[in-house]
Amino acid sequence: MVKCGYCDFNSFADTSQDERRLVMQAMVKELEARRCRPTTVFMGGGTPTHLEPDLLEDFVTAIQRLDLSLCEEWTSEANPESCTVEKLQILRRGGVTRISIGVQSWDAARLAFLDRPHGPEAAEIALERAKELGFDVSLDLIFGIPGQSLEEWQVELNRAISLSPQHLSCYQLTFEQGTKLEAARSRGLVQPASDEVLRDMLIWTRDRLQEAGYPAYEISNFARPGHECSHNIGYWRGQDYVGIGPGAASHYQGHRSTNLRPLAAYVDAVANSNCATFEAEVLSPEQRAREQVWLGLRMRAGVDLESTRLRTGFDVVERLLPLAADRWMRHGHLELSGPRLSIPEASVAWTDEIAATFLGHSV
Amino acid sequence: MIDKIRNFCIIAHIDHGKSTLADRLMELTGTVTAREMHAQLLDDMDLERERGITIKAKAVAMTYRAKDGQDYNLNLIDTPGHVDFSYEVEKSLQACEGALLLVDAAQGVEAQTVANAHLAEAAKLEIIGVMNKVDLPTARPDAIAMEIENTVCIPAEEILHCSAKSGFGVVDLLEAIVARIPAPRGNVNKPLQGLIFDSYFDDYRGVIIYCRIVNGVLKKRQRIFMPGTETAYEVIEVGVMTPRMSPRDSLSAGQVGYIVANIKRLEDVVIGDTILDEKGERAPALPGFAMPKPMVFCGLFPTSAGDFEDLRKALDKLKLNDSSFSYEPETSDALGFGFRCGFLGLLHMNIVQERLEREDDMDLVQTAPTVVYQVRTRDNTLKEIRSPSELPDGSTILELLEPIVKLSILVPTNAIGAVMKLGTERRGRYLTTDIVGNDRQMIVFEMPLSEIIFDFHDKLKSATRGYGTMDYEFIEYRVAPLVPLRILVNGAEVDALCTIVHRDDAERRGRAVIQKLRKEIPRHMFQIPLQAAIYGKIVARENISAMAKNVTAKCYGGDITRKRKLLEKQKAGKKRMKMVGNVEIPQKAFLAVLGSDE
Ligand SMILES: Nc1nc2c(ncn2[C@@H]2O[C@H](COP(=O)(O)OP(=O)(O)OP(=O)(O)O)[C@@H](O)[C@H]2O)c(=O)[nH]1
Ligand SMILES: [Mg+2]
Repeated sequence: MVKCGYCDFNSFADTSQDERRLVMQAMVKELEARRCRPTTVFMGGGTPTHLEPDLLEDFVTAIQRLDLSLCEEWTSEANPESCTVEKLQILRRGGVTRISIGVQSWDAARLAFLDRPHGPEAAEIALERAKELGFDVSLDLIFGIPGQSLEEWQVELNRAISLSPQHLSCYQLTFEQGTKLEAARSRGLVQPASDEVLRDMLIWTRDRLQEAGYPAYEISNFARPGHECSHNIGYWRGQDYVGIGPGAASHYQGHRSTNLRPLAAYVDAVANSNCATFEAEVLSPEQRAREQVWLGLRMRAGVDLESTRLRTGFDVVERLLPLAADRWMRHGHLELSGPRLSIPEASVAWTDEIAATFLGHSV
Repeated sequence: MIDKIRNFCIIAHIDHGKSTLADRLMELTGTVTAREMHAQLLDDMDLERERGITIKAKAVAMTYRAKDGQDYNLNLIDTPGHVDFSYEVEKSLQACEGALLLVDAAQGVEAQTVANAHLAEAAKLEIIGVMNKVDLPTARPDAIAMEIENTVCIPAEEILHCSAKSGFGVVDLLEAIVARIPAPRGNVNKPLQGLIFDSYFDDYRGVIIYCRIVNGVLKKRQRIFMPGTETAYEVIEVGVMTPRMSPRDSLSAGQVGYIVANIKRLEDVVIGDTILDEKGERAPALPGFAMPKPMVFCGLFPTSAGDFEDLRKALDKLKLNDSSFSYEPETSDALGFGFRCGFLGLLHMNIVQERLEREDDMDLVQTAPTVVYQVRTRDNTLKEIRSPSELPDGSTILELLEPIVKLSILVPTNAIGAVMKLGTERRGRYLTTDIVGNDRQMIVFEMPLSEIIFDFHDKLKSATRGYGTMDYEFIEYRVAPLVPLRILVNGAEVDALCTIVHRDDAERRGRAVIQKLRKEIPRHMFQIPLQAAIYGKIVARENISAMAKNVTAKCYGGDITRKRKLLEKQKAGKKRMKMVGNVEIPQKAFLAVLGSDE
């Protein structure tokens, strides 16, 4: 199993089968203890298709034991190289509806740069298999890889479009703290693409996908209408979610918590107390509202300030807009239409700049 | 027993070991016990300890039984070595008959060695040359003795050798103090005359006056009169510093001590004023001496307007113990309400700012330091300019004048060329060169103060590989072709960035400032034009291009808290910026006008 150079998610890199078995057993136990009734399920962050078929099957079965009567979307992440027909069939039988394939790139050299073990063909094969089994398919791509030109990115995205998945996620390459890639950057071994090139790529991507029938619904997410990922939308709308597994995060009505990340510590904690939370934070109504505006502005539809008020009890329109949003609205970087605050398409490249004004304790 | 009193101060270049020598003297005379002793005991202010330098002069009374079997009352004053605080040396000299001139045996004679020796000569003090740090393996006592002889005319054979660190030679030094420094000349039977040479404020006891009794006797409960302020007080306590305040019944002619008299404000006591007897026969006032005038001014503005009153309170508090610092309210279009503050020099300015930021937790924007210019207008009035924004309209200006100083630089002979070049670049007029020792010389220039207060010292150090030292004193104001350099950010003039510069240098400075601003001001979502102008003519321009993008690619459930905290931290950093028009300008950018490191 391989840990990707650019990814800061927990993973099972360098673990033995026994360790994986222990972690999966702990996760099943944690899942049972949490007793949730999900509307969506998302298996990811450690790439489930890396699991041995029996472990995968056990885990899917554990999820099936939840009350899934309200569940309308169940996604599993998949890596091209581990997407066997056998595993896909386990997922399909279990009730998974969506497969999100980590293609990242169609270019062998760029895949090597990203430490991906698969070749370009593997992703296409995985996609075909998933489609045949009737999954909704999403492809993950990365742009802005050092050395990549806008034209080269255009070729990559066009190839993805030609395969007509239901959904596409296109991420600008990020240099996350603690990754091999970031270490190389800070030592000057890797030169990130310029902001200008990245912006051109972002804008072109949004235009191209709009035209191809995949309008953006978030900064990096695009879908055929009706095929947006409801699970991820929940994050940006400030909805509640339960995270299971080492390092997983949960949110319940302004309470944010994170599980222990080291595998052994996680396994021990669950064994001892059915719970592995090690960090928790309770947001005040104001903090919650601020966070919701910040997250909601990632969406093309923006954020409904009236539902934010109802949910958090804090009135953004009255308390924050005049101070935080005035100058943005004057220059057309923010739009308020009814209760809905959003960033117009022309200003999307500056989303952090604009949205971060809503964070903090006082404006 | 006036003939058993010896009043002296320790003077030297920075770090030559004055405070350490004071430690040994206090130790050997039993003034301070071994248990109480720690290095540079007299440097008791936080800032002194942190920076390892003396900022304020301090007096200590000691009793020494000399080899002749007699007890002597030795009053020592430890002084600072930094040029910003040379006024502390001048004040201290007034209370003494002798001075120990310390010279580091490895470093040799430096700029403040010479400057302080001259001050002591002018005050007609007996100077004892002391070669310190002879314990150092790099000590070159013979060569340095020649330097001392050459520069301050103390014969090599009269110089005492000691190590303030080990204590070697310090007993001989005590004997020399007794033998060579004259006893004070005052008369206990004459009417009271005491010279106020220093004061400070104590939260519980009010103003503490440091005083040298010249004639007569000062007793507890006596009523005193100070002609400078025409005020009278009853003396609550008199005493000497050991170095703790130790009360005595009286202080008599020749002695140095302190007075507590229920005085509420530091301004109520004038340094250099005389203490007289209010009731009995009133002697004339002593000649005294003048307070130093602040040489360097800068604006201090709170980053958030609401902190203005807090800043005023903090400045009031600082002023309590630092009468050499001045401040008055100032308004800037760009920065709002703040204060124009005056300092003795750049170190003094840094110290004050550091205290405000730390002790009072203030977030400040500081504008570039400037010297005090003078402007003569067409109606022939002369006005002081402490801030470029005070300049009257160009058409009414007849001429501008700037302060000129005499700058003495002591350098190794092999660095003369580099220093000459530096001096000329800074509009210096070369005056003389004197031989200090085999391989060192002293070069003297006349130079505008504005050219040296900012970074001259750093430049000198790099031109001389760290060996050059400098000292300066004010000579006079002179007419110069000076012009205001105005800076426009996004089309609007920013008054806090305006400076006064030499006409021939204006374009280069304008370019340098703009370059610096371009680096300091972060990209905005729009392009920001930067311009430098002299009397309406643009002399330099640059653009800060618009920010291309700022967007996080991924933000899912597990990322939210971490990313939010990261953005909140970045936002807190932005609080240290000042919004001028539509542009956020970071604190540091207001110092860009010093921009000399192009
Ligand atoms: N080796 C050696 N070091 C000494 C001696 N005297 C002082 N020092 C060291 O020199 C440094 C400066 O000593 P200070 O006593 O603070 O010097 P100063 O002249 O009071 O300095 P300012 O008050 O800042 O002008 C300290 O690190 C002392 O330990 C000495 O005789 N020998
Ligand atoms: Mg000292």
